[in-house]
Amino acid sequence: MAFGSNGAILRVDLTRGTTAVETFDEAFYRRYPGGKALAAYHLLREMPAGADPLGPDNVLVLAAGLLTGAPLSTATRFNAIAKSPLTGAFGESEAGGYWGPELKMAGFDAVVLTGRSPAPVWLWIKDGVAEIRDAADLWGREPPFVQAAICEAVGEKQARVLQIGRAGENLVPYAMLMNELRHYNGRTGMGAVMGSKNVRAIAVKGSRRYLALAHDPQALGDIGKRLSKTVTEHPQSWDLRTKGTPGLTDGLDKAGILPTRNFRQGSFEQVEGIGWAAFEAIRSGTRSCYACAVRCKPETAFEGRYRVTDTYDGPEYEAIAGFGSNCAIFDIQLVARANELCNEAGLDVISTAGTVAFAMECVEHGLLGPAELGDLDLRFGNGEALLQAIPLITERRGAGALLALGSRQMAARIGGGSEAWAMQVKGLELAMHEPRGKVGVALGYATNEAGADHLVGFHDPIFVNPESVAFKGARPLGITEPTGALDLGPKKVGIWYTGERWNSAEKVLGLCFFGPAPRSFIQVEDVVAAVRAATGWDVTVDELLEIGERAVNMARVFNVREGFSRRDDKLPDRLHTPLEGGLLTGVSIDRETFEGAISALYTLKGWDPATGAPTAECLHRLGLDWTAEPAGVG
Amino acid sequence: MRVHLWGELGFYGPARASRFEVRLETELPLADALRLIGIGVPAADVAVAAINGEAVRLDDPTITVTDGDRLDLVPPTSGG
Repeated sequence: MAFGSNGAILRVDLTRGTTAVETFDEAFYRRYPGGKALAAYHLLREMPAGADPLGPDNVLVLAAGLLTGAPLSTATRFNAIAKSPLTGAFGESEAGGYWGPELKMAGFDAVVLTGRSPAPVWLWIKDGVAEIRDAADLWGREPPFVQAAICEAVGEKQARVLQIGRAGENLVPYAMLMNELRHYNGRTGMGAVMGSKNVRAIAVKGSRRYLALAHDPQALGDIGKRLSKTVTEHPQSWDLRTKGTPGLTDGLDKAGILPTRNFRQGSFEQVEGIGWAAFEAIRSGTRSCYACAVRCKPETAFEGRYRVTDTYDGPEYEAIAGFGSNCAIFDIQLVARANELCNEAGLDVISTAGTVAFAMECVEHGLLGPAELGDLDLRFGNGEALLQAIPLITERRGAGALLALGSRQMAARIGGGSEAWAMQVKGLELAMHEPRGKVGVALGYATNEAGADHLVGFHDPIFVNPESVAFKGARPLGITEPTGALDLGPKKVGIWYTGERWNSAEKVLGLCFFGPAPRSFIQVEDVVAAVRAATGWDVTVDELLEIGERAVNMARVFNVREGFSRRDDKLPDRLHTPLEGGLLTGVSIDRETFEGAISALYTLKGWDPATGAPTAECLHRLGLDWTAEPAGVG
Repeated sequence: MRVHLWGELGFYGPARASRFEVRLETELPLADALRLIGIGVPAADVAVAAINGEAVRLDDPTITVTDGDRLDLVPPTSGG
């Protein structure tokens, strides 16, 4: 029976240079349907505890979501999961684009990479068959060259190419993966893990269609068609389609939650320089992910003070705020060039920008200077220095060797109290969302297994008014009572718990954050209907929440194995001090209240409030008793 | 009066316009001005309202606007 998946995983042993196909039955998929769940399952099963993240024992899993590739807007995502070289914890990053859908159409739900190739290679996957090819001629080359060379080598103009850049080759711990040059698994250094395995690229081509995998293709196709027509009829998806993420900047500034000067302020006095009007002047077009009617991906191209082409994506909001307000740079053209340099190198823009902002503050405090940075004058606002820094980070050369460590390790080396303004959790730099104005996001930053990610739960402002469009979208999840954006009481903890499970379910299903309610236009009942049509399973909202919760708990078990505990679920000190500018000037997160909220959240999840570890009862409830077994069984 | 509807609130602007100007003949309570110019923005979806950069409450009857003012309405922006 078709249940929305291929039932097959491609295994690649890079040390031996062999490939194999592993199959799983439908009952397995109902517990681990795809994406985060499927990838975490393999990582937990196969990576021995304490493995070197950049050594052959790490396991890199690339897993498409259950619905990835369906003709359903935003069903495009795949997860890259491994032990992170940046954090030493559960590493996780998703991307949309075309690679995940193509993998499903090529006959596989996931690729599991083990070992390390003795020499650079790339993988070619086509219709159920995989081969390992020599990448000597690709190593060191720029991403567009690699993509074109691979397409020519296999004679497929539309082979979908996932690859690392120079930063991944050089094992920069916040190097990313990119597919089709424009879609990025940015966070937690998955590019460095792939680079450590000597894999430059993985190209896929498939001739299947997702609907052939679906239990009820007619019903699924009808849902997709209906939803694609509603994109422009819903305010949130209309906004994403019209402006994309660059449309966020001004509103966040007005609300006092635009990270500015390394999260000191919540508003940027020169925001016009990076706001929507400035961005619109350099926008050259928009692009889409596979079969997605939201079409939110911005492109820029211009020749002005800098020359930027539309080869890569963005800048998205994260790069605009990261390189812009958070580094006190008010020149959208320079921000776009910094974004392009990162994309070309294969660097995560969030960690790059966060690390540079941290360094800028160290310069301001006199903790970094010419002795450490040479002639790199990294003062706040010095955009030229930012542009000089990115290639140095990519090559780990000069000051770049220090900056390539990321802000946590830099702070450990620099000392002088700099840890207080290293804006990271578990080593992962904060995304560009100011948690002092939306404290549920702070709960997510602190407790998320991968570190300070902004896409692991709901953002608080949408739960303030029960009549808002977003709140109404959350009601089918059981969220009925409003609460303030700065509230950290039981209602907020409950909302966070629900939001984390729902967002995790999205990562299992392969749906983008910009698809389902409450963030956007696909209503909860539509998600349930799509899963039912794809699988034939009588799933409910509760089962989807449990699927999401199971994936979160696997990530948590991984971290416990690696020695993480409650003490690692903490915010940088700065967030417990008052914001210095903007609408929320003076607002901080009370430490004691926050710790109380974490305890309450752990209790709700079935975790030990003292250690932050899932209890045996919790793991049993989720069918995860097996995680008590040692890993590395292969 | 210059009106900026940020983010998804542009959905409710005239012809989906996010930025536009309207002529106010006289000083008016904010709520009356919004009704008069026909902005269908649901109050529940406004997180921050500001007149000339100063945050105000939409339901504050003492707030007035006059021609030449700038009104910003900001939604409860979520992640991105």
